[in-house]
Order: sequence, then C-alpha cells, then structure tokens
Amino acid sequence: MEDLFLPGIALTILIGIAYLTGRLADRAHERALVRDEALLSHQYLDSGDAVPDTVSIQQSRMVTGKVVIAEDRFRNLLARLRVFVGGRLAAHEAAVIRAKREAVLRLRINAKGASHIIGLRFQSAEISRGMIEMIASGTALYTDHRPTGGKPASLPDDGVNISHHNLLTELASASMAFLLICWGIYTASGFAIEWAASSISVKDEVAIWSELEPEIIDGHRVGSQRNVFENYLVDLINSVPKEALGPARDYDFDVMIILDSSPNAAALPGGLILVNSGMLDLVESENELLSILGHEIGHYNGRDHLEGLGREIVGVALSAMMFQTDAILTTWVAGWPKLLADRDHSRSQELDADDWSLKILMAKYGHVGGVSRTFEKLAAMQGDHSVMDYLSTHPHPMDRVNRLDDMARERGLPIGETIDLQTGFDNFLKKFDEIPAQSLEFQ
Amino acid sequence: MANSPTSAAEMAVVTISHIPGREISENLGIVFGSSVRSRSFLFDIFATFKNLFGGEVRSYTRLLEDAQHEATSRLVAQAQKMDADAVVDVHFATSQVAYKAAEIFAYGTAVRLK
Repeated sequence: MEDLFLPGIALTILIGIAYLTGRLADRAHERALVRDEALLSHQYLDSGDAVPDTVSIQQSRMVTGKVVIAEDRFRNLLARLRVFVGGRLAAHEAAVIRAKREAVLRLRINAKGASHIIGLRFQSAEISRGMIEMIASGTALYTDHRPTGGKPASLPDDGVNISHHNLLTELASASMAFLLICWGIYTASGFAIEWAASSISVKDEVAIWSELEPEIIDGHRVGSQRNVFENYLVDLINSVPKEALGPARDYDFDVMIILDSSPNAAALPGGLILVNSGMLDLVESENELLSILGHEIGHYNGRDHLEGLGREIVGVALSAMMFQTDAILTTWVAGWPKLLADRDHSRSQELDADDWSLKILMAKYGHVGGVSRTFEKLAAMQGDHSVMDYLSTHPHPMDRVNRLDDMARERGLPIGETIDLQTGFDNFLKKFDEIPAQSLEFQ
Repeated sequence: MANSPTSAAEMAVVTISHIPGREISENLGIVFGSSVRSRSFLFDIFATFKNLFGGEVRSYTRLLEDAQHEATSRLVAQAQKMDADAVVDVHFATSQVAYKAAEIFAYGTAVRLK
C-alpha cells in the first residue's frame, strides 16, 4: 500500500504540472494559429486536382508543410485510460486538429504569392508514440488572378471536431470506468484463484515447489543448512500435536530467518515460512513465537499463500498485457482497484489465520497466554488508527489484539504463564544434546 | 448535430471533383472531419488472438467504420457551417495518434452549386 502512496503523490504532482503546461502550450498554439492565419492573403485551397481554367498560370510547384506535436503526460494518461475503456479519445482531439491547421499554415507560407493551392493531401508519419505528426502537400499555382474579398481562406477550426473542452470531466469519467473494470477483473479473478488454490493438494504443491525452493533459499542460507535458531523454530512447529495443525499437517515445514528490520513473516508455497529478524526482535516468549508461526500455518490451511501468489500473477499479467508502454503510470492507477479488491479478502484471511494461532497454542501449551502480545507491540509501533489503515491489507494490530482477547474470553480459553524465549531455546538445546550427533542436520 | 447519422445523407459528398449533373459556382475552401477512437481492452484481447490465427479482425473493422462515419459527419457539419451545398474531392487518411487507437480524418473541398 505504501508502494502506492508515495509514487502517487509524486505522479499526481507531475501529472498536474503536465496538465497545466499542456494547456498553456495548447492555448499558445491556438493563438499563434489564429494570428498567423489572419496574416496570410487569400488563397484558394482545393483538395481536387482540377486546374482552374479561368486563370493563366505563370508557374506551378509542389509545396509542403510539416509539423510534429507532442502531447503532455496528462493527455497521454487520459488517452491510455480511454483506450482501455473504449470510445472517443477526447484527449487528442484538439491536437490532431491543430496539427492539420499548422501543417496547412506552413504549406501556405511556403506557397506565398501563389493564388491557388490544388491537390491538397494530408499524410501522417509515425515517428514516435504519443506524438502527432502531419504532412500536408499540394501544388501551388502562381497566376495572374488575385483572389479578392471574403476572409482569408483558412482551415475551419474546432467546434465540430472537438467534443470535450473540459478534459478534467473526461478524466473523471474515463478513470471511473477504468477503475470499475479493473476492480471487476481483480474480483472475478480472485474467485477463480480461490477455486484453483483450494483444488491444488499439499502433495502437488510441495512437488511443484521443490523445484523452485532451492533457488530462493540459496541466497540466504550458507550451504542450504538451517542455523540453530531456525532448527529451534522448526522443532517448535513439529512439537505441536499433528492434528492441531489442520490440513497443513501434511507439510514438512521449514523456517528461514531473513535479515530485515521490518516486523513481518510470510508463508511461501511448499511449507517454507519466512520470518524477518525484525519480527523476532519483538518476541519475548516462546508462546508469542508459536503464535506467529501458528498464524502462518493458518495461512497454509486457508491456502492463502497460493491465492496471494495467484493474485500477484494476475496483477503482473494484466499490467503486462494492457500497459506494456507507460507502465509506471497505468500500473499505478491500476494498483488502486487491485488494492481495494484484495483488501477485504486479505483481511478476512488474516483473521482466519489468527484463529489458527489460538488453536495451535491451545494444543501445545493448554492455554493461549501470549497470543496477542506481539500484536500489542506492533500496535504501539504503528500508532493510532489513520487513513492508511483503511486501505491496509491487514487489520490494525490493536483490532486484532482485541479480537483475539475477545475470542479467548468467549470460548473460555485459559491464559497461563508464558515460557521465556531464552528458557525455551535452552530447553531445545538440551534436547539437542540428547540426540545422537550423526543425525544432526545443522552445523 | 455533428454525429447524427442523417447529416451525412443530406449533403452530397463525393470523391470526384464535380457533382454529376450540377455545376459548381464557388469554392469555399478545405473542410475536414476527424475522429480519434478506440475499442475497449476486451476487443483488443480478441484482436491479439486473431493475430495468432489470421482472419478478419471484425472488432477493428468496426472501429474503422465508426471512426469513418464520425469523421464524415463532422466534415459535413463543417461544410454546413459554411453554407456549402456539397463537398467534393473527399479523401481519407489515417494516423495512429495513440497505441491501439485510430484517427481517421476526412478532408475535401466545400463548394456551392449553381
């Protein structure tokens, strides 16, 4: 979510500036066109090839006028949104008309002194995307006849060809439609992914993932070996009665500690749980530790780790398919409906996973002491509720503390003494002394 | 008015330099109509698949039809503003102003008839 806010502010400022500069350039060009067209003397313009027979021609030659106009980032974004939604691209309508007027103006300046320009043709070039290129060509006839009267023949402007004068209204309607469509896609694909994730068995998942897992682990572990503390964490999971683990009992769990100060943990496919060192710094008791691991195990039971992966893939695929160019801007805009679609789903997943924390702690210790302790510390770090919480994929930690405490009270779950982390670890080391040396996996 | 389907039918629009059976009295200058349009992402996906197997991409043909129709309507609307009776020597050109969007523009010479 923070990925959206900061670039969002920067992009909004840049787009705002682009809107203003684009508008200024637009106005300036419009004024210059009106001024310069008025300066030219009257000329007959004809898209036909017929040479007028009422005049005697002294000279004829080919004349051209060319122009390339770049559109600003704001109009390009507007056009991208409109292309996705479908319909008329109001963003570029004004510029394509100005490009033609400018090309004809330059052609007529090149044909100064000619009374007729016949066989007028327009041609577009393709130099770069997001630019409007126009070439006008024709044949200038220098004759004895001077066209008189009437206003100078210029290309008629606007009114007819430009449907939207206020692009901000167009932005509002195009982006609303865009957001709705994206939200629909993410929500619908969410259901499909949920179904797919629930139909992949643990066995298949482990088999698929065993191909990939070594690559992930290699960067973090020396010689693919768990360290002592990681062994302690795995042992902690294995010491929980199997039936309390739910469907996740089929995994052969592995825990890897990542050196990262943010308090976070994650469930990867194949039964690999990642715990950041920042999370471990918060933990004071073995019960809290198992509460965190139990929460991740809860994610395996909900198949959330596969769904999360699936949702990421849809997000990447959608942005790759729709917005190959202009990726930063459109992916940023498309990030919002994805966030909203993911938010509710993800929050309920987190709460379900918290339930498994309670179950697993009960099975191991016979009480749920320490289950919400880490969240209390997280809540203290995060501070009060804020606007950001509304968009967060996780419920506010304080809400989770209250919910866990309420549930423990409702179900009459006992709250006992917690085991100090150091004591728990020492107990593990004592157990490790009793194991014959040759069966040890770790260094 | 610019987009009403009947407006194109009210005025003679031809690609040759005269209206058969009538005589041109006055050349009013160049008029043009432009339309920049796109289909939605769904049709773009269909078109991408069509590109794999070949065949007519109907959704884009439809896009050209819509754009051409609108461009012609706008051309006529401009000619009507100038009190023209017909548009002769009409040509069409196309340009790609944005990715997956087409601009069709029609231009011709607005004339008065005797």
